[in-house]
Amino acid sequence: MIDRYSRQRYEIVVRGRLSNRYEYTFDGASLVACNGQTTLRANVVDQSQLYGLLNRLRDLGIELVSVNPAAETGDAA
Amino acid sequence: MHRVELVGTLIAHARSRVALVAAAPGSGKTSLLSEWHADGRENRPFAWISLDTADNDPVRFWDGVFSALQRTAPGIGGSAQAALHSPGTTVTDQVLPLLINDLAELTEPVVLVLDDYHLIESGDIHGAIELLVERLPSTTQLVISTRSDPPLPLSRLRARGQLIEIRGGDLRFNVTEAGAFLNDAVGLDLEPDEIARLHERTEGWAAGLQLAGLSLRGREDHRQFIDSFAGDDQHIVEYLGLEVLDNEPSELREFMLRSSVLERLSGPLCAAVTGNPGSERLLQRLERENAFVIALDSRREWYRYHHLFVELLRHELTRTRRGLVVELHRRASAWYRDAGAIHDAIQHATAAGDFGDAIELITTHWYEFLQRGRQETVANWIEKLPSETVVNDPNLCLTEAWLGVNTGRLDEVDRWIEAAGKAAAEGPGSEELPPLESGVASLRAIHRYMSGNVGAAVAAGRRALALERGGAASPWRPVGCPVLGLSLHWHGEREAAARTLTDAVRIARADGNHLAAMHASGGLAAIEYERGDAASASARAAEAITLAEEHGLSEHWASSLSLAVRGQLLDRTDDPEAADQVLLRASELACRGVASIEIAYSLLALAGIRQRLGRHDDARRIYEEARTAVAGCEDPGVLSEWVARAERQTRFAPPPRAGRTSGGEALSDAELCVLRLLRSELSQREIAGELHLSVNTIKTHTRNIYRKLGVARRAEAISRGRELSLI
Repeated sequence: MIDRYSRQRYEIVVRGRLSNRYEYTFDGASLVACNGQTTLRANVVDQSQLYGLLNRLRDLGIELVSVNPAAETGDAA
Repeated sequence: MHRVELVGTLIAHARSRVALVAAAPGSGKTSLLSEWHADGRENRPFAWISLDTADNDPVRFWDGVFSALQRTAPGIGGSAQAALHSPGTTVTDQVLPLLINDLAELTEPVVLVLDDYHLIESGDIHGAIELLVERLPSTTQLVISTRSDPPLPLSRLRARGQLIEIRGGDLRFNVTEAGAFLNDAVGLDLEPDEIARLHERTEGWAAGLQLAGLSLRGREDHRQFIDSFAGDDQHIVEYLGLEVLDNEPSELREFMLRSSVLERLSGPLCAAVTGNPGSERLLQRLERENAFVIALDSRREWYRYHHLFVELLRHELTRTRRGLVVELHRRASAWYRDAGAIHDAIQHATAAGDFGDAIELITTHWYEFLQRGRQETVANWIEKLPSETVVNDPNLCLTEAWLGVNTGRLDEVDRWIEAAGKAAAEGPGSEELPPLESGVASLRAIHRYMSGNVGAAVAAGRRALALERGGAASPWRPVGCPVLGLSLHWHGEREAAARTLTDAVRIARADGNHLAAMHASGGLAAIEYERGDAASASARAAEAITLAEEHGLSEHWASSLSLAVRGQLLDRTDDPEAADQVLLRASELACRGVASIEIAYSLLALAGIRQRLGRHDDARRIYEEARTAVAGCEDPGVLSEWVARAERQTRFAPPPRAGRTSGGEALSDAELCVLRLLRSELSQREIAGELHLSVNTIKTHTRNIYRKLGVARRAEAISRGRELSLI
């Protein structure tokens, strides 16, 4: 089922340090915190999933800093 | 800005058409609106709707709006609400104009609040709200609270000075407010520098301050806590939310985590889901102590968690008790099912992954939801199921096909009918559910009829009736019978059609399916008219029209048939003007549907009357439309002969030359409506009554019509309007 779609990798930077406890809820995105910001790296199948992720961040009151597509580097580290 | 100043700003802008409160969750949007409502300087009543995701069904959304308005002004929107529930109406065309008229006539102004508007994703609702904003009378102010800006033309409203905005920055607490909140409201005893550090760390964010206050309450080591909090860059919700949660007694913590799967909370529901019999008491305690739950009614029966907090609880529940989530949803589904709340039962069954239970509930209840106009709700249930599950379930395929028929998406219907037939052939049938084969055949008959293939519709309709397992209990019989009868009629089998339609009226009436009964009566009227029995035709048409009026079906495309017959009868009694009115209405209604056969039938009748009225260009244009409709049908039956006959008998004028229309300004839709009524004997006051508008509005429209047509008197306007084929 997972391999039915090609995935696009995104890097989403938010304000504040988020711990790894959120990984499960953000669709398995990996979280790396640094300098008061957290970078979420997520592989999404389409724009709907990306918007869903952004909405969940919004619903937690988390401030968005940037959203960028990232080069595909194999598995989500 | 201070809260009290924000409320003052809102009150000062009471004449702004829209007030937008847009900010992150936990910024205090709802609290601000509550304070505004409670403020002594504000004396308008608030019609308040707290939206949830189920409100993406437009029927549910507008029902909510009407109920809220009716609590402030009894009786308002009655006719709009009736229109909302009539099959075949569209919100923007029929419901909103009625609502706007009612609002315009309010003697006391009202504030309409749409709270949590970000939950709305339906394009239909966004479109209707945009229209409402555009035409909102000055008696009403629309307030939208949301986490994301709504898709409305905000810059236009801003430019016109019709918008007052309160945004995240405005809602931040200043340091004085933060101090007042922490020391007075929460009851702490913090030093000014401590308050300043908390204010800086939370950036005045209401939820952050609230969580900080709760964390500090009952602690001795305030300074130490503030030091470590201020020195940490962890996200506030995570840092403080977990802190608060961890400090609660374990019984309460477990209760909160488990009940977080619910959208709404009540004592009995929470007891069933969390397994804690003291749920009622815990809910009251939560409301009293930490403001994480908000009462939804004054009887303290239903609550919900604060949006921000429930997200955190769900994260924690999923992280720490992942295996429990399915079971909690399962219990919620069972409770809702027993309580008869089918929509919630389906939502939780789907969330639990119990697709079999969800399908059973959908299969048993979809028809009653559709009858109440809740198509979007049913479509949404099915959308949430895995697509493999849907295509392999014949009942769900049938439901999809039926949704397609109802919404005029004929291209999808056939695919679902085939899928239903295939799935039915492969899987075991159920004795309790309506017979699948006849359902498939009935829907196929409807689909073929709507897409203009009467021969195939007759075959499918006959097969549907043959497959019925005897009893009249099948929901397909009242639907399949009229379609077979109508198809037989257009197929040229008049006597068989008359027999089937007579049966159809009886069966549909017994079943309470007014739409089917109305459509079948209309068909009988057409048959009697063809037979030349004017009295019977008139009686049958009247029967259908009465049914339509009594059951809110006057806007449904299927009511066009009876009007087309009535119009043709009027023509015979030498009242061509009245006949023209009725036939015009019949054609407009038919064109709302997609059944080309019925569109062509009413257009042919209209072309005939226009020809007799001497409006030859008009008649030619309408005749061409009818011919195009028939040409698009795979098997139009007798209609192809009727089209040819009309051409022979009436010798329609050649198509009009281009550029013969008015060189002046076009009339608006409203002005066209008024112009049509100017042909009648009605006074301006009576026209106003007819259109539910004020006399002044009618006068303005009339002036504009005269100006645009370059005339000075009513009679001139009518003849000029006719020359330009406007009426």
